[in-house]
Amino acid sequence: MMPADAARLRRECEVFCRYLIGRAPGAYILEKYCEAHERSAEYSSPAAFDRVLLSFASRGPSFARLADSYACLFARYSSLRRKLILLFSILESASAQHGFSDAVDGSGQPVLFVKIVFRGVLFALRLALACVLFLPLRLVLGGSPPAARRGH
Amino acid sequence: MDSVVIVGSGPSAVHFALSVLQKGYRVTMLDVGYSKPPAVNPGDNFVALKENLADPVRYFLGERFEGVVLPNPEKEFYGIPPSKDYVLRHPGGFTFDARGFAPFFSFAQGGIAEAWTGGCYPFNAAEITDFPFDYAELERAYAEVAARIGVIGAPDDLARFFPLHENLLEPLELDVHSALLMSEYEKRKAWLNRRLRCYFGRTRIATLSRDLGARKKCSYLGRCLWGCPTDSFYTPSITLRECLAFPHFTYQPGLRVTHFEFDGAQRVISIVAEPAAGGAPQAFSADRFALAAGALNSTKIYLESIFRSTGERVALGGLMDNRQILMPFVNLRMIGKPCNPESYQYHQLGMGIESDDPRGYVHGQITTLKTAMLHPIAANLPCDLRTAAFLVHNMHAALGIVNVNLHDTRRQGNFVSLAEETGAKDSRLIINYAPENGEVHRLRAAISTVRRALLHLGCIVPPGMLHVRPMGASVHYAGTLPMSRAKGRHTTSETCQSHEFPNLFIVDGATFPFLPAKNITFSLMANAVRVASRAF
Ligand SMILES: Cc1cc2nc3c(=O)[nH]c(=O)nc-3n(C[C@H](O)[C@H](O)[C@H](O)COP(=O)(O)OP(=O)(O)OC[C@H]3O[C@@H](n4cnc5c(N)ncnc54)[C@H](O)[C@@H]3O)c2cc1C
Ligand code: SF4
Repeated sequence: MMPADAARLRRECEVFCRYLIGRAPGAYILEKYCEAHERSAEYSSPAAFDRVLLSFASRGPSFARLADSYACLFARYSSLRRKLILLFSILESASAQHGFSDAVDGSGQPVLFVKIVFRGVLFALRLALACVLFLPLRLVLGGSPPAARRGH
Repeated sequence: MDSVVIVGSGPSAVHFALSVLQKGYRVTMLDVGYSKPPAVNPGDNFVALKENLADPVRYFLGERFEGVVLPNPEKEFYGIPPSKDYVLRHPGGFTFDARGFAPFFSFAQGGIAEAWTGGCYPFNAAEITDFPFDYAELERAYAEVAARIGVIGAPDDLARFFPLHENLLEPLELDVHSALLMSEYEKRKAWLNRRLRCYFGRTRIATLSRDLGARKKCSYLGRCLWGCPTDSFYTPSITLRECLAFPHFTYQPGLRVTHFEFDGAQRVISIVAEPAAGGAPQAFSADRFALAAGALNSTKIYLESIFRSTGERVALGGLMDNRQILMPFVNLRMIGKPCNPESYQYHQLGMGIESDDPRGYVHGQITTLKTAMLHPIAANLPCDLRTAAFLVHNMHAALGIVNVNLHDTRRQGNFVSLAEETGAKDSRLIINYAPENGEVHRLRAAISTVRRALLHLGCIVPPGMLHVRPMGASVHYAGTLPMSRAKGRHTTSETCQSHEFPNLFIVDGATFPFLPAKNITFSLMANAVRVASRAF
């Protein structure tokens, strides 16, 4: 891997980690994220729209969230989505110190339901904004190809 | 001392081998036999494993990150974890083409059941009416296998579908979610039984609730999916170890059997195997021969033998497999509850849906999620991953999945044959499968009943998450060389002795003439024991 690529991946991992767990990745997570890109071609895509979505998302955690709100429904096989799922899987495989904490929201069921509805509403708003941004771009640039079959 | 050559070391093969060894036969077992890596940190539970391993990501996701489940059009949530990759490794030279079927082949020591989930469901008398022997024979064999491997279960409402037999061990402790589902069932069972003809209860599982020989009882390490490090959970390599203690047993791994050779009287003279790593073929002779390489691989060896000797390309009809439907659900009462990873991993509960024709029984295994990876679920939720992470973490303890199985029947159009290619050293296997007309109605009825039953227990099936698995995915293959009272071509006797080749026995699923909606492996092991006791 070229040094420039490695630096780009580390930056990307840092942004995506802040987006997913609200803090910067430790050295172990960074190393694993880069290693996955070295060992598998699953995370790159030649599609122009994919590249635009990815570079938009890499600008910062809020950008990543906006781009992901669009990708989760309309670009499920995009490289952005694949990279985020990769990072999710790395975070959940690592110890709690490096990755996700397993603690649940302790506020009780009624409050939790309200929080879920609130997050749902926020997601809907972000999705609306993301559609305004990305749908025209996608029409111009075309979509991302479905991923090849994986797993067993 | 009479000699037997057995092909394979899966559940069918090892139980057949153990029985004939106990009868004093000299046994040679030929196997490709890829073997499992040593267990890592055997004393650690699931959480400690993440803390203590130097590189937990490598363990859980694999060296090439093959354990990452990216969005796929097939919507498969889980694959075989990297620690069990060897189970599905193929040797060079083995090729196949499948239409309407997504087959799994194993060339591992212990077979594909090294990665199974341990469900052990005896067939009942109504389900074996096409089998040319009495239920009592099978019942004895179930008891024998249960004593060997350790099967837990309870005499509850599901016993009406899977009969009780001797040597059942008491069940394990239920995890909180499963216990809640059972208590809700107890409250609502009158309605569920009467209106939906749906029953719930404990599954039968090949896991120990008591020590058995050198094997220790389950200590709730929660690592079943990645491989139980203490052998509490049964896999066939445990029985293979028992066979190895017999002085007249020889295990020959590293060999892929291609075919057998027979004389003018149709007696098999030898079995021919190629070293999996390359090299000259070797022939093994014996008095009797047993194919137990898994239904598809045994069929391949059988077809190849006829082709090499006569030039005839036979097509064997009747291939069966259980159609499976995966129905993820959320138990609303469990949302926000903490998840306890120190519990048994796989299904602890089952459900059965009764039908007017007892052979139309529908079977479901209910797994509550504890330590399974969450990213495949998060990736399938219709929201961004940060929101999905919040949802799956707070709903982890509330998540479950029902694996619904439907029965299958033999139909000639579903066949296994060899490709008409010239110049190939070993023929390509051809598999052709089409579901029966009207399957879609059976699927719809089963889905609707399971959905309604879950709703009554306080669980919802989120829209868009249900997945009808392709045929072949359940790996309960059967039917290509069926047992039959009549001596038809390419059939076997009630003791699985070939009607074509008198000293050849086929002791895996290939000989089953019907496939109930039940995981087949317990019956494979029992049938292998039955054949050894009747014919040897
Ligand atoms: C994820 C998963 C979960 C499962 N869970 C359950 C469950 O809960 N309950 C259940 O009943 N079933 C389950 N199954 C199915 C079960 O594993 C199979 O039914 C069972 O393993 C079949 O046993 P077998 O001995 O007939 O064949 P296999 O297990 O396929 O074994 C075949 C053996 O033959 C050897 N072999 C094959 N070809 C050759 C050759 N040409 N030369 C030499 N050796 C050869 C292989 O090395 C292997 O040792 C599950 C399967 C999977 C994949
Ligand atoms: S919970 Fe699973 S891994 Fe742990 S001891 Fe029991 S069977 Fe083995």
